[in-house]
Amino acid sequence: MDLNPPNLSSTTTYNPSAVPVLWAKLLPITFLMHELLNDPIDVTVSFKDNRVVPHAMRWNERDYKIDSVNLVHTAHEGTKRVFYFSVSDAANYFKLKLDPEFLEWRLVELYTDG
Amino acid sequence: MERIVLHIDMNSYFASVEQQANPFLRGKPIGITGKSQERSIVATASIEAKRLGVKTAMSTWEAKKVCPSIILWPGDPEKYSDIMHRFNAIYESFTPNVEPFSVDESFLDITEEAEDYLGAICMAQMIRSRLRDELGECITASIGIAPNKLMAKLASGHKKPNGLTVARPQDVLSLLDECDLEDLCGIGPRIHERLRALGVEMFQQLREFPLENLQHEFHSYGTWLYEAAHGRDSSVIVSPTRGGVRGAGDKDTKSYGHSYTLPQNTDDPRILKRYLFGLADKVAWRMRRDGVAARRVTAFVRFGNFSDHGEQRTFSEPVADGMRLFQIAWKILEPVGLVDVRLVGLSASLLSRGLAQPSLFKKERKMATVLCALDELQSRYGSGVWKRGSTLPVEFKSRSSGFHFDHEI
Repeated sequence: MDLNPPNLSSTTTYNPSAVPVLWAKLLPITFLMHELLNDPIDVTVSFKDNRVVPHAMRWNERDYKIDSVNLVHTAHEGTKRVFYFSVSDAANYFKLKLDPEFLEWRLVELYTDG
Repeated sequence: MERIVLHIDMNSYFASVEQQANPFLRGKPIGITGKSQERSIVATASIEAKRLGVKTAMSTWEAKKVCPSIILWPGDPEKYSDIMHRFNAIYESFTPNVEPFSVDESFLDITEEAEDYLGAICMAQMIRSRLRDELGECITASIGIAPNKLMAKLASGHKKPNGLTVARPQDVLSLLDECDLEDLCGIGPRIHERLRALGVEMFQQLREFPLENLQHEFHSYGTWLYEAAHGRDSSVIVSPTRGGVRGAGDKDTKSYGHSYTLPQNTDDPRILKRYLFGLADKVAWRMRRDGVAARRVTAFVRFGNFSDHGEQRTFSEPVADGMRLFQIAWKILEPVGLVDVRLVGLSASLLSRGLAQPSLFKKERKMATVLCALDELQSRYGSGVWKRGSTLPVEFKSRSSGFHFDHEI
């Protein structure tokens, strides 16, 4: 059995499952994961001052409460304008895409720090 | 009347936008790169990364070497462009005289609105407050206030990040004397070197240098240097909303071009053709969108040892078709020994308004009709809605037959 600790720095992106469980328990390891996705999600929103404010989302049969909406920006896909919401909870950053034509939400980016 | 000009420069712009979007990046050294991080450069380093020695335009491997803890983050140009429009809209709510200078810098002429330097300082603080409220606390700016654009830009760079520097007319010379020659926009490394060879190391020496000698050495640029050393600049603020627009389809556009750093260096002409064809289609689409056609094509490659080779061809019939651009570009590159190629690029110039003349040949006319339809699709649904089959990577599926029908590929 290899007892050497894995060579990890706090900013290395890697798969947490590849880390031996023993060392994961013993070492104060920070897992960083950045994924580009395109998954349809359900989002609970409120409408306030002519703005959409996302509050919670459901992805992969799991509910996430949105603690903070950090940035909202738009982009053009041809003539269509889509909205991106950069939101976060205590451990995750999510980038959500709202297609106003079809009122469809997608999770397009996930960054986990925990 | 003495003018009052503001220069607002966003601090580590791309990085601070990403730190605003993603709170887990805040307080950490990050570098904004291209999509392929391995062979990219750091387009913007965060303030934390800069403190650890990472510089803008450093290659990613060098940045990793200087700062092993740096987080390399792929850039999102659409996001930066959207935020840019938003901060310029904030500026325009203070004055109509706004000139975007680059993606993260703008000049504002606030002579009438501010009235004096105290008013200008109040306005700068109000702009800063609006930026924080509407864009977020991570997106900060350094502001310079001065009697002209040149001095305002120098002032904004004087204190970073999040600084506010005021150079009233009577302060301009002392500001110049505190700065290095290269801090001034317009004095690059070459001019600096030539000035040093003349024994000019500081602005004070430049002011005392005879104008005739400067003109003899630098021709008309010598006059500009002399005026700049005295803190004088007569250039006016050109606002896009007042007819100074620069952008897609601008009549001042001289050329259209794209280049691409390959994921791995290659000698394979099929791979090079595929990328070159993709670039040619991109260039051609932008030209057709803007209603222009080109009579000159320049194709260029960069080799693994960072040497470059590029040539151009000029022709009589204007072209705005990706296929034709590719054929011309490939004719230029094919005879070159394409070994260990790192980057391939293409640009089209000698532009003329109006699209190319319809061809006499039926096949080419049909192709033009198809392109028209594809352009409409692309306008409606965005880039990436169509691709030529020949620009797609060839994927060999793993063998699935269990009956020895599979063959050598």
